[in-house]
Amino acid sequence: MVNAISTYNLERMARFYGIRIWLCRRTGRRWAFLEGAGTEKVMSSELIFENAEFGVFVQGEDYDKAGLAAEVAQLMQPIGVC
Amino acid sequence: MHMVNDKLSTSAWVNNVIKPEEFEKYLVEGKDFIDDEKIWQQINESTEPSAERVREILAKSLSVKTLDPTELATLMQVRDPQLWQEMYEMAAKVKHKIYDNRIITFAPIYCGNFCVNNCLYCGFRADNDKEKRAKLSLAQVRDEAEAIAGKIGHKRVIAVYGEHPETDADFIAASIKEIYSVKVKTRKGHSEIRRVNINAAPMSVADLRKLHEVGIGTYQVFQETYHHDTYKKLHPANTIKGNYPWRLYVHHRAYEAGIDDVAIGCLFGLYDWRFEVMGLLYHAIELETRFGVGPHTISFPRINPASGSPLPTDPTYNKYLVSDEDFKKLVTLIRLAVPYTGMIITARERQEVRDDVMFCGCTQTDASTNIGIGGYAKNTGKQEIDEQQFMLGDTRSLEELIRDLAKRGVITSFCTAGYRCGRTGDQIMDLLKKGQEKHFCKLNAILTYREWLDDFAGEETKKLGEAVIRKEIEEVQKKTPTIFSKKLYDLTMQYYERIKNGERDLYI
Repeated sequence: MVNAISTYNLERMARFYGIRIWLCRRTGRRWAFLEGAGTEKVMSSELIFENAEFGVFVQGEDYDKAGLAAEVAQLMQPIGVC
Repeated sequence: MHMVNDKLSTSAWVNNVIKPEEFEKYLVEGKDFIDDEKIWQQINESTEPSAERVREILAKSLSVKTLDPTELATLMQVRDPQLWQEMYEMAAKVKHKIYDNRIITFAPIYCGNFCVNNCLYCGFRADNDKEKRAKLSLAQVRDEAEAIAGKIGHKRVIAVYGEHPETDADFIAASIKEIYSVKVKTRKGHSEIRRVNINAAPMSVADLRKLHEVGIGTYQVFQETYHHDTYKKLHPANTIKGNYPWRLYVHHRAYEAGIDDVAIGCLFGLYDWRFEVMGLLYHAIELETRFGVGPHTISFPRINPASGSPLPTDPTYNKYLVSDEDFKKLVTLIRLAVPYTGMIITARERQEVRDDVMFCGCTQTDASTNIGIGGYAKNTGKQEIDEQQFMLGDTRSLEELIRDLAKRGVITSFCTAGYRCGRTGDQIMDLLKKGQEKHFCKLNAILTYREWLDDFAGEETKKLGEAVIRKEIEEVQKKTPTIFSKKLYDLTMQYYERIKNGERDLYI
């Protein structure tokens, strides 16, 4: 089982990094939106994390990409099979 | 014996489709959200509005707010041709504000015409023994997708299925996977189907989940008619389709199943068009209210002759056939009433109608259309009334359509970017309502048009297309850096060059 980021954490990261961030579920060859936080802007987006089930996209400029990617990866770590 | 078993299994399947508990929970005091009496009252109590009142309502549409049913009913009472002209122009303006100067194209793939229902207007009806029945194998589905992606160049399809155990949810899911797996080499790159929308009968939440898991695009189900009595007369009670609320609440079940884009529609010509437009608005409002996401698209096909079906020649019903003039009005009213939604006009309509009505707010259309089972791979170039659901009115190829649109300065878009980065469901709805989505539409139209021109266009089309692209890029330049950042502009142009060099599926 994988852990999805909570709305609380998405909002916190959107504020802290000054970005738009959203969580998607992988369905076949496409991504389906689940939850997001921060203001949508007219700019390209980047997939900063993906696993078998989820993907996390970000829109933003001049933010700490490495810090955010590490934080997202931590939050999306498998939490074991139940 | 085999036949008997087949019949038994079909009847057992039919008896197991409807799950009353999956729609009854949405009824309010046992009633659905279409109140026939109230709708007629709203239409009949509206009087011809002043020009000032009409303009107030149009301003609301332009601010991308869904109209109230009474406002829509008021617009229906306009008699002044000048005011109608203003309304047509406003519908085009609303569309441009939300979707910019682009038309999306797609192709339908008819995967099977076996059907357990008996709708009086449909060529696929079970009792129609003139219809030649067929279902595509998965290999044939693949052949169709390869022809569409590789020879025509579409990137979107809508796969269509009759309601039958032969084409149940498992078959639909398998065919979606098959279509997505196609990749065809083209002149300068490759082509593939990037978005598979589905038109299939209402199903349970469990079955809809199967479609969600394989990456369905939009799930499209038309109510056909919102008028309860007419619905009852046209859809025999002993059939699955005879159950009005099972059909009406299928989009609710789709959202429950995780599907993010749903499409509604109605078959105009079965009942009074004014009532049906009100029904579509009530449907959009219900979805917005319950789920925060309205219909991704609305369709408004007019009834066409179908083999072995008593309609539309039956005099009881042909009084409801919609004239070209009323058709233009109803398309305009839908655009104004539900400003954010995509609107689909299909090749059912004659070329002159399509060319006119397209500019009253439509966003999507089909071309090089073949609605025979296995029609793209066979490519006979003929329409066979006994092998298709209805007759097409406009048989232009995609290239001809693209050329005609280009002559009018319109860019054809093959964009599916939303599905590449999760701009779907309530996220895209929000962008549409804020008028931001059109900026993505503009950039992605340029990129995908470039792909198509390089892979499929003949010399004349390419020349016309290049002129459209130049104009679109100039507009983007003018809006840089106010709307588009310099960084985004540079990225778009970088992608543009990479596409010219043969890379594919680059998007913003």
